[in-house]
Amino acid sequence: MIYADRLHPLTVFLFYSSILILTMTATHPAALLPLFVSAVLLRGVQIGAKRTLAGTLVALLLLLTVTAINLFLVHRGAKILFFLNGRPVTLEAGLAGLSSGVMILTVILFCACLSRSLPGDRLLSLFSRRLPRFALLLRMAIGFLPRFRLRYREISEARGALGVASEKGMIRKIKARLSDLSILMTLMLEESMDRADGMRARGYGLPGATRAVTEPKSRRDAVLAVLLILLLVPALYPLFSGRGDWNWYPLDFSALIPDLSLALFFAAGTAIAVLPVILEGKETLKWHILRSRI
Amino acid sequence: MTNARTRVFLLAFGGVLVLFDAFLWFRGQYRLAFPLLAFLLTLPALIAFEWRRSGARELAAIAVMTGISVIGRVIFAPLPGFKPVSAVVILTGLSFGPLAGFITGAATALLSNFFFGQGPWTAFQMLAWGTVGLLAGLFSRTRLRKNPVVLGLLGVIGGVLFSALTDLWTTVAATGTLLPAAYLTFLISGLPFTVLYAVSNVLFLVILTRPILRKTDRLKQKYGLFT
Amino acid sequence: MAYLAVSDLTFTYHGAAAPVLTGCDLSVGEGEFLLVVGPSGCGKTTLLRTLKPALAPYGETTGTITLDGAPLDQLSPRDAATLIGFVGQDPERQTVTDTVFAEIAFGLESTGVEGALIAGRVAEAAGFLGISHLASRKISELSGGEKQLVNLAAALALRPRLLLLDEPVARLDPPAKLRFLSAVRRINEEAGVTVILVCHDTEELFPAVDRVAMMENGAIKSILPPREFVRKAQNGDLPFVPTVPRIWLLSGGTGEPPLSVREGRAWLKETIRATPENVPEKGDAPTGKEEFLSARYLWFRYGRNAPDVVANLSCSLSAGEILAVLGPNGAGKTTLLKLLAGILRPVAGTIRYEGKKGLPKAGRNAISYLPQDPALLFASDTVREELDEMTGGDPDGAAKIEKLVARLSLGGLLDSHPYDLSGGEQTRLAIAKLLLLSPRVLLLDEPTAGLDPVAKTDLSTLLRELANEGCGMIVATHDLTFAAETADCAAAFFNATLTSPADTFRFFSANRFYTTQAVRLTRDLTRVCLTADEAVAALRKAEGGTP
Repeated sequence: MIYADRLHPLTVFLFYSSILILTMTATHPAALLPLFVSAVLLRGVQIGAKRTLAGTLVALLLLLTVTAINLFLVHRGAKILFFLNGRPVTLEAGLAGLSSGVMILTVILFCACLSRSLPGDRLLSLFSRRLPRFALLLRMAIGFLPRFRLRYREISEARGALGVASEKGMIRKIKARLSDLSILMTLMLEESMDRADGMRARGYGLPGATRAVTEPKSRRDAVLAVLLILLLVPALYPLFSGRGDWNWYPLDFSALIPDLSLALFFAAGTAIAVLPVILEGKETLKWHILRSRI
Repeated sequence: MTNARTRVFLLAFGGVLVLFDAFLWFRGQYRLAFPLLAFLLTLPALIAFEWRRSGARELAAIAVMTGISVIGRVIFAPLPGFKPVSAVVILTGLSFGPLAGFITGAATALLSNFFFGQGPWTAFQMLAWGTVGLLAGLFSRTRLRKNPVVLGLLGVIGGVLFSALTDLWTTVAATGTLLPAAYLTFLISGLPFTVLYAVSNVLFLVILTRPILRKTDRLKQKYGLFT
Repeated sequence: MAYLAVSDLTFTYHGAAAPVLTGCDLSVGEGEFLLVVGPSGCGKTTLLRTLKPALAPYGETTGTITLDGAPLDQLSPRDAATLIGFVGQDPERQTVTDTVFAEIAFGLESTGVEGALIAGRVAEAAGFLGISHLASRKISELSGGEKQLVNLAAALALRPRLLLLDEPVARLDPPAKLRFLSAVRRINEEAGVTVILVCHDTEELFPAVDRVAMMENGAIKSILPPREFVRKAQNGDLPFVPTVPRIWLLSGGTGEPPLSVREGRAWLKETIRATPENVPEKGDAPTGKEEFLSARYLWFRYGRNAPDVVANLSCSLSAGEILAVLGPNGAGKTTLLKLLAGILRPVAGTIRYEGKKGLPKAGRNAISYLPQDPALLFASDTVREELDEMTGGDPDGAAKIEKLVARLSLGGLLDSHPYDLSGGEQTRLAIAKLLLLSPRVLLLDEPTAGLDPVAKTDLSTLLRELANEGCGMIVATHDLTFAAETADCAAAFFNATLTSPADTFRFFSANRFYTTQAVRLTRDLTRVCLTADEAVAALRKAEGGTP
């Protein structure tokens, strides 16, 4: 049901990192707003409108906080709203804060979308090429978690049933938990030496290790990668040239609407962000239609 | 351990990112420049970890410590503010050395955020916990590693560094620049938590250090780990 | 020429005074299936590890090992990794990654198999062992038996010519054990892989293997085909002779020794023509004794919408009684023990203790629980500290410890680290810790897991002694022979509840399949016997009685 599942993780990762770079460097409202809208749409396509809207309250709170921070801590700008403790509170600072809030929100949304499009193990398979040891470390640790949780429960149950440390009180409680944690750590370290034997028995550490090819790159990946590069060149142009820079101080409403060439550059950036929405949206729609036919 | 092509790739990748980060800095794009810098600061340790010729046992031990600190976050979830992550990372550093400490810290941040949510802040958390582990690791071959003053200091640094770096991200994200007044505001408003982190770190270390170090010492001796 | 030849191998652990291997000679033919048996500490594991260069222990080695004519130490590390496969004892402690596919692929990646070919190799190994359907599962979701098959597949994917198995089934329940061993047998028979298997539990193995090697004090004492092994077995070898041939041997059987129940029954029919004893089909619950721990209509589940793990279960225990709760792993035996220990609370139903509702507080003179892995109870760095922890504040503590240490023969181990003890010693230490609480009831979860036959017999004797002193016990186990030797009554855990407990004799003699080897051998032919010893005694008597 997820289009990204049929892509190579690298393609998905490159798309999202491009989008995140564009978002985090977008200062011009005309560049940021379309990105924000795509983020909301993408999230909506991924988890449904209802669950996306459920986050509205948290989002508003975040916007409000960031706006307030800027309002009361930044005292630049010409349009003074009022004075607080003798320092000016300006409209520009408020708007700058609002735009910061929107940016943060967009980043959070895209990150959430990324972790849905590219779940942990697929993301790790990206590292495993260039950082194989670190990737293996993470894989091992992930594999340990359920066992650790189970063992911790067993330890605290068995130690609790011994009845040696049944005193009450906060410090006692913490101490008992820590002592169980320390038993867990010791046991698991001991166990890991056996695991290491299992690794060495299967040739871990030999030069020339390879990686299983489980996700071959397809034509779809190639097409999307070419498309991404073609869009990325104009999309990054405002960042590199500085033409897309926006300054809230002083406020100039007339500059809110970019001229045609700048608009086209922004459109390229928006297109990168909209592409996943279209692809995932098509996928969701397809399943809806398929289901209604069954 | 890694082949030549990987080395070239990693160096080239790191080089390009450094240039890009410098450019962002020059252009005043701090929102991206700061997280990228944090990531770039963790990169040397990650590369060193790849290039260091060390065996399966060391890797397995570090993986266990990472798993423990992630699980520790879950075990102590009912007690807000009491997160044994820093303590476990510090103990890893004290037991197994600076690189192991850094990697455990960084891996813990990355891994636990698969549950708590990834984002630019991951880079700062990786750097914060990694650095704490690295600092602790500097004492791993000295007698000071059981010194209560050193332990206390490490615990406090663990709490403060974590808050300082995550607040750094919050400030830059919210204001687009590193505004001292805003940074200070965040630091002060987060102070109760910072204090709680630091106090719980010290408490954890006081209780855990002796038994854990005795156990890791035995392990090192029995299996010839990290020699 | 021998495929694997070991000659005059000695090995001394670094820093140890005495050698563990003292002149081992062993020669294994290509495609042979060799079973290695021997008491704990005889050097079996050390020998097996010495045969796998990556796992060779650290120490002083003399003597030669050749594989396929070439010295083992001249084998390239890559060949050593692929040609010699190794699977160890505990399925929980060998896996490295998080998914089954990654686990089986791990060795292929490490040894540099071309990336595009790996999936095919994984599919082949998994398919051969019948675990293809597990490929995308998470390791943590698998049962112990499935994990061990994954470990076997991981070794098999490397296409080994020699497979070293170090007690691979010691921690599996009977169905998983049979499945694993039949997989090993297929690898040997259908792929011609040479197999060296170290295993305590020889019941199903004697009919399958080519030769049996007996190790003692660091050397191979004898290496013979199974039937020869039985025929020439002496006292020290007896624990490793399976039930059927042991009965044959001890009752003075003649001709070819029987290895399976089928052969044994044929032999018995020839030898004995006694009228079979009628066996009561239905067992009655033992009555007349005063029950002091009882549970009525217990229900338990782990979550509101989770399935029932315990449903409508009732059971009771009187002082000095041992109740065996039998059943495969994962049936819910552990949950039942935890309910009775007060660790878990039943969703419905009542537990009564000494006539009163509810359970006593954890601690002294109450109910003690031994988890399946005794190491969970260990928090200290020496055995002495472990015991001291239990007597904090007790003025007679030291005296009590001294008595227990002597009784459980822990004397020489007081300064050892608990993790450095053998499986049997760890169990004894854990029991000692519990006994320091002078429990009225002991709940033991799978206490025989990983124990060798000698340690099992010792444990059985100890539990009987404790029962005679008045301690009630519930033992959850899948080891039928152990239950038959130890328990007063037995009940099977099935479908979330306990069948009505019957006294051990009735329970085992009434069953046809879910029963001990001795019962399967003797039923309908002579007096039904639960254990080899009983059968031998019965046969001797029968012989004495008939001219």
